[in-house]
Amino acid sequence: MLSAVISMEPHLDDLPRSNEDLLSVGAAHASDLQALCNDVTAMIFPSAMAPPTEETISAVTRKLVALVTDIEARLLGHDPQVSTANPQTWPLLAQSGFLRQADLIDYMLARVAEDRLEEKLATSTRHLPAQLLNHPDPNVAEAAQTLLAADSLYRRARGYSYQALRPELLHQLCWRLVAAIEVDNGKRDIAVIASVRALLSEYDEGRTAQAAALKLSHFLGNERRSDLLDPNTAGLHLFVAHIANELEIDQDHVFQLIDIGSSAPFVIMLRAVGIDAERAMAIIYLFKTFALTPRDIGLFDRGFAKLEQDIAKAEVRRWAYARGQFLMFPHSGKSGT
Amino acid sequence: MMTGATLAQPIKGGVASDGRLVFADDALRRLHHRAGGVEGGVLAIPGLAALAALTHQLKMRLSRAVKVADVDEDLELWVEAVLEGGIASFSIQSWRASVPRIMSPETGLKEQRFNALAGFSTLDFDTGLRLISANGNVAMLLDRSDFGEAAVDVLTKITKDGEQIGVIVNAMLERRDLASLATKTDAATILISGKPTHSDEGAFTGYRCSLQFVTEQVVSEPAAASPGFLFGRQLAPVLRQPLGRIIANAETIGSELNGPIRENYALYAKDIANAARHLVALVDDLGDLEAVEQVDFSTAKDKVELGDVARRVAGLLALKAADHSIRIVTPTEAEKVPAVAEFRRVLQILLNLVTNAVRYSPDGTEVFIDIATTDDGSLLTVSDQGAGVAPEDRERVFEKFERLGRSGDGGSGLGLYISRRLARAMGGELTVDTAVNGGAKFILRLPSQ
Repeated sequence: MLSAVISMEPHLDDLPRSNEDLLSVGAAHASDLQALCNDVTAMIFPSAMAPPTEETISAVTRKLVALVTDIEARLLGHDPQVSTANPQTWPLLAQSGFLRQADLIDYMLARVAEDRLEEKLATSTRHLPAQLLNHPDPNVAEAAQTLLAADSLYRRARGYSYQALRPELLHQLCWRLVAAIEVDNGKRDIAVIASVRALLSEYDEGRTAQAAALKLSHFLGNERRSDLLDPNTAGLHLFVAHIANELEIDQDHVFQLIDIGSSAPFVIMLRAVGIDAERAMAIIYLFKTFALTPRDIGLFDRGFAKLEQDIAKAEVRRWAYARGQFLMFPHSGKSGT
Repeated sequence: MMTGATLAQPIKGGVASDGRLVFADDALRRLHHRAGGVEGGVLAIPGLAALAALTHQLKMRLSRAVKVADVDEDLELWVEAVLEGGIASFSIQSWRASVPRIMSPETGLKEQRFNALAGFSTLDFDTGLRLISANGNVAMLLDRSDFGEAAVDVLTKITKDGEQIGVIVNAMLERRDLASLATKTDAATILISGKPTHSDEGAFTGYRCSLQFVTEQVVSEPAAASPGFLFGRQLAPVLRQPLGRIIANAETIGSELNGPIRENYALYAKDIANAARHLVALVDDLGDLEAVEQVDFSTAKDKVELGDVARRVAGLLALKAADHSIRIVTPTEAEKVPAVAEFRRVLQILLNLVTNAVRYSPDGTEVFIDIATTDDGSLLTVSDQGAGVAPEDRERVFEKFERLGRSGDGGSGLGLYISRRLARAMGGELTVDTAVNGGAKFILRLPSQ
């Protein structure tokens, strides 16, 4: 957060001596200015972040293709493992604008963020859900088991991506696909409709990693709650679910706030949860390793303690409200700010 | 923090497609009744009703945390729902109660209600000072029959502080602003402020009272940080400091004090300085924006001489105008128009208007600042010889972030929005019209006394 603030100090006190020094100061200023702009944007307009990078757009597209392929394969009885081309219904869905729908894209952006954040965690140390398998509260034990299963490679493997979708989105996507298949084939296919009904009736929101993590966070007593704020111990889903639960915001929003370029929203979010500065710094360092500089850390030391928890909490809720408005009324012009 | 434990046996219930609660375990049925529901009627617990409706709509198995407001506490339930035989059946796995909202059983209903109150409320009165609307938690203290009642009766119902009620009602009758006034009740302290409301044409339309229910601690510590001031009070100062340094250093580079550098590098340095200046302006705008959007935002009542303000602004912007060969024409020393407003806010509005006029006028033209006294108050107008504002854009131009399609000129789209909010906070108005020569003419009206 406020990443550029500290960086200016040595330059002001020791005026540059040569043109090379001047130019390097100029370059540093330019990047600091950009960082400040990003910070201001992140703090004031969290739902209108800087436009996604090419890399993000490409990752979202890949995930969308995989999702549509998986559902289509399931409805048409194809093997998703052997399909390589874009799905049959892709052109129709794309033309209809459905694939640009705000809530679908938001979900995909959260998944891309999730993938990026997962990469930063040490896979060998996530032992909390496994330890909770024998918890005396059956709800905790069951949720831990579900979380481990949902997090497993099998659930993330090709062919099953739709199982992690939110029910509202899965329902919508399935019936859109049915319509697209009918248009494409020029006739109604009873078997496809039966497949959709079967798919939807088999679905269980409680089996998704997000719901299981939220349930764990909901049921877990005080004895292990502090572990939930250690991402390496709790795992990403539990960590995010705990923050979401504490701040009463959506888990996908938390994923996105952690992942965006500026660390400002993450810092404010951690302050809102009430984590002490030392622990917060460790968590930020974990997720933002390559983006952090000694200047960030110095600034964090100065600014974190000054930020009041209630104000940070109110700010996060304001972001959540703005995001909710945007997802509800994506075309209302200024609601995206 | 939640207290309570996982239920030994889940609590079950079922909701038909028309929303009726068709079966329920005892605890759920009692909760439904406490929420105002009747036997066999529509489920009166909004969170659960919404989950049931979604289950009917999607026909899928759902699993969610649901928050429910009970009489004196909030509940957090973990609910699993599934559609079975046309009934959305749910199973409540946990029933966690928050710390009770209401303090003790012996406190009366009025005190309980006061304890539940938080934040700001507003009361709107019509031109006859009869209550027409109540927003926020103050509505809990009023009955339906109170609407249409005289202000004095409505206020008496809220606070018994007769002396202060007299002051408030006098301000309403005299159609003047009321600064924050603390009134005591037997259960709380209320800060009441108010201001007359006007139509777009400036006609009196009624009076609005803003109420804040506060604890003693808040009253004695008014400077305590309030949510919503994160940017202006805490972050803006932190941002301004490095931006100042960026500007200073970039200017040093651009001025080539240490010998010549490549021309494009010098230009880059100027770009950096300009970008930083733009960001400083944006930070200032956002700080102001945050302030003016606070419910309790108010301004001081200074005696201001508008001709003096106009000449000061012209002096401040003379160099900027000269860069574009623009002349700012101000009222003479002999012309004097008094107004009652906060001096620095009037200066801020006028700086914004004249900056805009200079920015959007062709080089070599003139910007006129005129002052006048009318029956409706004191007027200050800024006219330019630019392209003007089309009639269909005259309201839009005062909207937040509205740039009328412009970009890259250093504006944030907040200046006019903030200026209008400031003008209204001072009991005035800011509008735009067409100048004689077709340019834009911004009219700031302020109270004369």
